[in-house]
Amino acid sequence: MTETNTKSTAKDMRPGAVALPRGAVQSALGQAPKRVVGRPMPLVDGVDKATGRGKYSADLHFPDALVGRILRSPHAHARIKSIDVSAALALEGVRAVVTGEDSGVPFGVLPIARDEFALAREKVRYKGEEVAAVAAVDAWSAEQALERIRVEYEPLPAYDDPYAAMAEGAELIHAHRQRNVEREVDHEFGDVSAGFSASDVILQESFFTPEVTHAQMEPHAAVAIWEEYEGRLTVWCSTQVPYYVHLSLAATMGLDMSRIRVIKPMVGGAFGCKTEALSYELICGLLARKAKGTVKLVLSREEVFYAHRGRPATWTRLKIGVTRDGRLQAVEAEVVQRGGAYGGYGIVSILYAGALLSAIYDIPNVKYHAYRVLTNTPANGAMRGHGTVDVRFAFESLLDMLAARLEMSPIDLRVANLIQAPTMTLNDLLVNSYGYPECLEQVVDASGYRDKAGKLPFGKGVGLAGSHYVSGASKPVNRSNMPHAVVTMKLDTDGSITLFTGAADIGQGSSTVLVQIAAEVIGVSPGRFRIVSADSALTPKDNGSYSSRVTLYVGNAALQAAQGMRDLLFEAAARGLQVFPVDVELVDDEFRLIADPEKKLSFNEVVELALDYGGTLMTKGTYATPKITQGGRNYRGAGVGATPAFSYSAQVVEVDVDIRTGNVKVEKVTVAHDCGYAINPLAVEGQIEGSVWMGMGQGRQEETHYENGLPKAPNLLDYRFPTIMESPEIHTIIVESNESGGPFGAKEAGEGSLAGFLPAMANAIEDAIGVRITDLPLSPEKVYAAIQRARKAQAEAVPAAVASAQASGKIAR
Amino acid sequence: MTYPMRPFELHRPADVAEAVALAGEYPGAQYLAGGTDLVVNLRRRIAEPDHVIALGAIEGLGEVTREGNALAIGARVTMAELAAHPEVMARLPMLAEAAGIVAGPTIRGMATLGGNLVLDTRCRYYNQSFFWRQANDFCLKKDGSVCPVAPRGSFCWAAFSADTPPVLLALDAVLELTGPKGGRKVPLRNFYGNDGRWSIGEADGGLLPGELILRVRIPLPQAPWHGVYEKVRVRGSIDYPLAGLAMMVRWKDETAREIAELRMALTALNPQPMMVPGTEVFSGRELDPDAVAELSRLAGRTGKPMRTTVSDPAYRRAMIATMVEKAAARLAPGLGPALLQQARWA
Repeated sequence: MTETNTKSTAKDMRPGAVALPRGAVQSALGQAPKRVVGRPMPLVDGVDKATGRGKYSADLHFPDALVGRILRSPHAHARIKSIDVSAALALEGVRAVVTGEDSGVPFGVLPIARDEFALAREKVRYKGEEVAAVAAVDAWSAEQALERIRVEYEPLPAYDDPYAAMAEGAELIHAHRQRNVEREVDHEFGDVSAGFSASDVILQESFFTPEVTHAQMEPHAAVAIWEEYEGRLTVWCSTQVPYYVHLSLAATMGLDMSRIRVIKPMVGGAFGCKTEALSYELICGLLARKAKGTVKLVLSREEVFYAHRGRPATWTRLKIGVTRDGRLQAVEAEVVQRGGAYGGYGIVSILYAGALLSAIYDIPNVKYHAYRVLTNTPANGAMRGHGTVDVRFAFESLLDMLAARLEMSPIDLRVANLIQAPTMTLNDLLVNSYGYPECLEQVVDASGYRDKAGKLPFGKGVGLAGSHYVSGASKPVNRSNMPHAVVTMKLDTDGSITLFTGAADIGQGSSTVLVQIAAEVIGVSPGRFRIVSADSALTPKDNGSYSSRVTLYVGNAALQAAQGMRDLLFEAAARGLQVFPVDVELVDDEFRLIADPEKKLSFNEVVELALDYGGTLMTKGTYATPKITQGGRNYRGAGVGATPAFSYSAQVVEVDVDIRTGNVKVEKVTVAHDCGYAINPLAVEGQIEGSVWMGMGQGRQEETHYENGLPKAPNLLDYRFPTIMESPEIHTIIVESNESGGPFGAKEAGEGSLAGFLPAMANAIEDAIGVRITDLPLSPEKVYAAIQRARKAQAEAVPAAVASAQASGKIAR
Repeated sequence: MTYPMRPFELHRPADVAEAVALAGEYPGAQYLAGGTDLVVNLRRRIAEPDHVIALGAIEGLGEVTREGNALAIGARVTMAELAAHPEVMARLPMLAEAAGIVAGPTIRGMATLGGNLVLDTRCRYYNQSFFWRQANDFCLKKDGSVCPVAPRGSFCWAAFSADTPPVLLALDAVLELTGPKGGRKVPLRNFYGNDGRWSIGEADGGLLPGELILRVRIPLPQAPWHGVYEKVRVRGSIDYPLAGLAMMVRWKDETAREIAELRMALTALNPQPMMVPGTEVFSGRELDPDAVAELSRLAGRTGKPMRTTVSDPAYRRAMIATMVEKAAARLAPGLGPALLQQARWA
């Protein structure tokens, strides 16, 4: 994979666009050249990872730790009639057995959908659900104990098809969800029928995107220590949101939060599956308490497929109306998501899918009707690009189909519908900085799209698509008046600065970004920093690492904390030099008199001055989203989709289709991402490449199907995520639209470029061989079957139709 | 953690005699070489031996030696070694090719030729954890009584999915075996049986209890074979073949593409690797698009893909013809464009 990185400052192509002022925070810092931010910096924990020195949850070694193992349901839907654990408890080496009896308080990430128990009670709802768990002295003893647990089940009708689950008379998976519908959404903004009436061309198409999973490198793992005398619990676990684990442990174990400490070690990837607290973390705590000791619980890869929380199988029917000159008049989407057996993030996912129809193009009328359906499969949840990916595939595919009908370039169709930012969308989302036009222009130019589309030899094709994503959800799921992010900072006699944050670095590089921001603001070298991330006993509470919120939210808090620290240091330096703070500068970790650089104090001398009489310096910074970014209040679900800033992305995918195997080689991807400002261009580039690559996995080859209630391929051999052999050349272009609400102008970088890949690939295949595929993945067998259908249709078509299709280039050139 | 293994006793014999004696002493014991197949199966409890005999300490099984007009390859030669061995690359490039695209680099560094020859047959209902198989009521091959692939039959359709055996079949390889009852030589063509439960061990020449492959002997004829191996898979690495084809030809007149002898063998489509019968009639014919079409039909009659992989059997069936075309195009330069033209529509 070659990487070329071009960085460009956004220039506004749109007429009458208003340049947004930089935030007050940045103005105060002036226009001094940046020393730390805006420069590529290797991740602060990079060496730990590369050398293996870093400790992940499963690496934590406690000599007295028991091994935890989980008994899972072999039934997709059944009543639990009885559980007998006596034989398991009698086995030598077994120290504790827990079942649903041990925890009767439900949990769930959304306060409005707490429908899960740590271990199943009364019913099981999918194959693989946790029924009981054992802590024993070794893994084989635990395994044997599981086999000795007798569970009597009464099977119930089970559904892996959401349409069957929604049918009249279907067995209810949860008694309080009628027709197994977790949430029905019916939104209309503007007047869609009027919009279609005003349209010259209306196209409607059905799309299907199967379930996919995160396939993160590190399986779920936890260690729990119960201190019996003190009645206290400490849990280390691989999580994106220690705070959610903390809340859920307290609720399900009936403990006061003050008695629990949650620590996040290094995390080897998460992509959304470690956002919600998961049963295994709670089971680990329950086992430790019951065994009065230490329990380590590490899931197998297969068990990760049962914990799941991935992207749901989604059926999308999309209808778009445009005028002859390509102006969008109306969009109507009907979406069904197969949610799995528990609510989880489901309500948010189904609302996101509708909300994010908006905020990338100017759409005057939009209607969204959708169902999130409960089924007897593992629960779905958040996955990189949460909510937007499947619908964006449909949208950007249909745009290309419309462009063909209008005999218009796919670029021109998109450009004809750009937003005039800043603006509020119909569904009350604030679009502030908007680098999408620049992204489109950059990828089209860099890829040579105009010279390639429709002009490459048969079998080779090029496709374009756009996407966008939020920079954090403006309204946290647990509503409160607390700030959304808090950072504290400590400076002591050793002259090192420790930055404390509850935000979890899960491999995305958030700790590095926070250090860069703080180092830039204070003016010291990044090496002076240590960062303590996500330990509830040490770090401020944080809502965690999800929906790409950390750089903007926690970055702003870090910026404020750093300003406080800077002020304290500069005041001390000024005292020492007997001048005003504004007369002092900090260069190479020395405080100098600007007018006479020979007059200076070393950093440590200033630290000593700053600590005199008061001791250790502590500062704090906070961030809360502005009200205007929090979405409308006049409709149900308005909080979802609202964000301080949207990121934008455009990409051009080039493919080579082998028509005899259906194998599609992705040869090159040119991608431009508007991240506002690249605090760490190296990390931003990595995030964009990762998004493209993950989009390629879903686009080209990944899928989870169920048969008899079981995933067909719950392993990394048959769940075929891409290898380096499938990895294309990726040319990344960073676009900087300068987001006024972001630290140094930064916003989202880690998810927004995923969704565009899928439709860009489908569009490229259409360009290559004249075949439009509307269901994913674009796997060899899918593409081969589509080719056979085209071949058959062509053989059966009347000669005139063939001639016409040939003339328009739609069948072959 | 991965699933814990059922405890077993591990033996580490110093030589072949001791290994074979241990196998005689402990019926049901399993040999362990690279472990890339067995260890996974132990964790999934589809292999449940009480005794495992590790061959790592035995010397002399890892060499490639020239013996007159034959090449003898030790059973513990790894796929990576085979793929990069100068003599193999020079004399039997099709074997190096097949070995070089087994799984991925890390597996090839461990997996051995002997292990590849006796790879356990594979099926998506069988290569699953104990929990998964239990939740699916097990299968005919292991712990159950019904084959989910063909529930009404009494036959196991698990597919033999190793890459090197079709090449070795077409090359007339002979296995040197030893066991508790002594040594013997078996042509590879007599080695495999056609039931996925015991495709190694059912046939006349199949492994007897406790038998061990020592070496694979491959004749090197005066007029060398030109051969290629085609492998269909979704990813360019890691994957087992969804279908595999070895095609070898000796030319009567290479520039005229006139065939003296042509052989084909298939893998991953049946419970055993299979020679495609009936290719003798192509002797004297030109390898042209018509001949390729006939060869495709012949191969299609031999390969019988079933629902043993997550990929659709119809796709694997269709790929048989594709593999024949691709192999023929590689063997007969100039044939490719004509075949590709044929594949296009409109």
